[in-house]
Amino acid sequence: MSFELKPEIEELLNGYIDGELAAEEQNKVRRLIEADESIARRLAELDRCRLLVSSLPPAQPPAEVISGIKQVIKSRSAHVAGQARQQGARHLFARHAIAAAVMIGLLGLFAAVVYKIAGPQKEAPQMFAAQPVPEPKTQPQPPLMAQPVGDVTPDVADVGFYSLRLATGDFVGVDAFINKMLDESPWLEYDAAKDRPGQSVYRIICTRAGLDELVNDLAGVWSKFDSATLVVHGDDVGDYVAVVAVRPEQITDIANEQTHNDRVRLAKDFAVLNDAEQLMPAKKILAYLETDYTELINIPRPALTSAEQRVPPLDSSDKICVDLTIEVKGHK
Amino acid sequence: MAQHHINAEDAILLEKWRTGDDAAIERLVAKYQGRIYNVILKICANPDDAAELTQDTFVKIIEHIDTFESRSRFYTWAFRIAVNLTLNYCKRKATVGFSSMDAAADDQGTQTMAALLTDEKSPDPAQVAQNRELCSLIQLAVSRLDEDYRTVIVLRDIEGMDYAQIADVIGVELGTVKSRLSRARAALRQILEAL
Repeated sequence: MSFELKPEIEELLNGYIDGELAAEEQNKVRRLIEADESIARRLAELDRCRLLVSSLPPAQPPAEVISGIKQVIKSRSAHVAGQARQQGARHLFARHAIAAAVMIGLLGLFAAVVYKIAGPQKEAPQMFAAQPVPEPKTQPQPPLMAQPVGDVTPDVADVGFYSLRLATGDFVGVDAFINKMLDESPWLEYDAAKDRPGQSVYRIICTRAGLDELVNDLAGVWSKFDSATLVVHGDDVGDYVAVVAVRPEQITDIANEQTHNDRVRLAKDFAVLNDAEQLMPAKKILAYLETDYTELINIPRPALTSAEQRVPPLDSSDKICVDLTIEVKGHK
Repeated sequence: MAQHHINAEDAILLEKWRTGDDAAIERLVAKYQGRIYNVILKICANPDDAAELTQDTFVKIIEHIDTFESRSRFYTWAFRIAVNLTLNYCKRKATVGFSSMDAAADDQGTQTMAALLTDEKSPDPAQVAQNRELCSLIQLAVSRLDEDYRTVIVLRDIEGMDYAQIADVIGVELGTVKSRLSRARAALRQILEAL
């Protein structure tokens, strides 16, 4: 006889016979069975139904099914093996290619090492060759076209190009002094240009010793100059250092530096010092001068920053030539 | 514990097969071919079709073994393939009747079935298995269930899966398995009473 239970109870009963209930649910089912005989009867029917189905004898697959499956496995294995062989061949080829590349690289490295050891040497190693750096040969064109000639022209190895610009209120007297000085100096060559009134330009070629003599003579009339500016020309056109308020000893100091770079560096130092001196209050300077404290205001000679020792002025055998242009201007 | 052992053994066999050991897959086939064939046969109710579907199932397993994720269970994965193939087959052959099985439902079988259902004693499985007519009736009753009911009945009462495994194989929630199995047994009991 069939009767209906609530779906929840049916599920509980099925879970009970299948062993899928928790302990609490199992207790609940047991209480339901004890309380309701119909539920107990339904549980028995469900269990019989389950047993009937599970009692069906298992069926064995036909032999052709098993053989067919084995055939599928064999064909698949052959396919996989073929793929593996192809992959293996590619892998082997790649390994051979890499090995060949490595061998070629090693052979090249070995050949380079052998050539380095046994090959011809092109030149001596430069590691310890302390060659002197040559002085720059390019020099600016002189402002005048006078060319040094005669015996006074030394065997020139270096030329120092200078311009000395002098301004004076006694142009006539100063110009006459310079003319006479140059005429009485056989150790130098000069050329004079007096194209403009109140202005003379002298182009002088001499040695550094000759320059010392020339500057010493000029020092006698230095007080007549309202301004004196020495321009030390650099290597390139437009490259120069102007030393304003230059003093005679500064000119000789600059010219007597051994190298072009030293001359330029010293000119810069003098330019800075002279500028600073110009900025000092004039009364203070005069006060110092009047009280004979001249040592206090004497600007010390700049010290060379390099380790080189100062070189004394060279004689006529000096290989360094001086190209000095003196411009004298008179005030109007 | 036994289930874990089975899973561990399956995983080892799969790993061996992936490394080229053909004997491993043959062991897996030998282990599951009978159970898969039995489930398929109980669902589709045709020995020839069951044989073909069993072979198709293993072909599919072999072809898609690379997509199998080890975190799943090979056991439920293999049965999922088998059940899906079988249910798809059943849908294609929906018009196919069970005349051969209906013929087995004679009066004697009906009387036996009614007696079994009303008998207060539990049926003896050995006696049931030896009674071919009774087996045919039970198989007939199962085959008359809807496909969804038939599937859960077969997976639970024939294959012996627990509810969680059934849910995994047919791809439904655990609660759905409980309710579906409850309704399937109620329907089966009605069919058996009617035979």
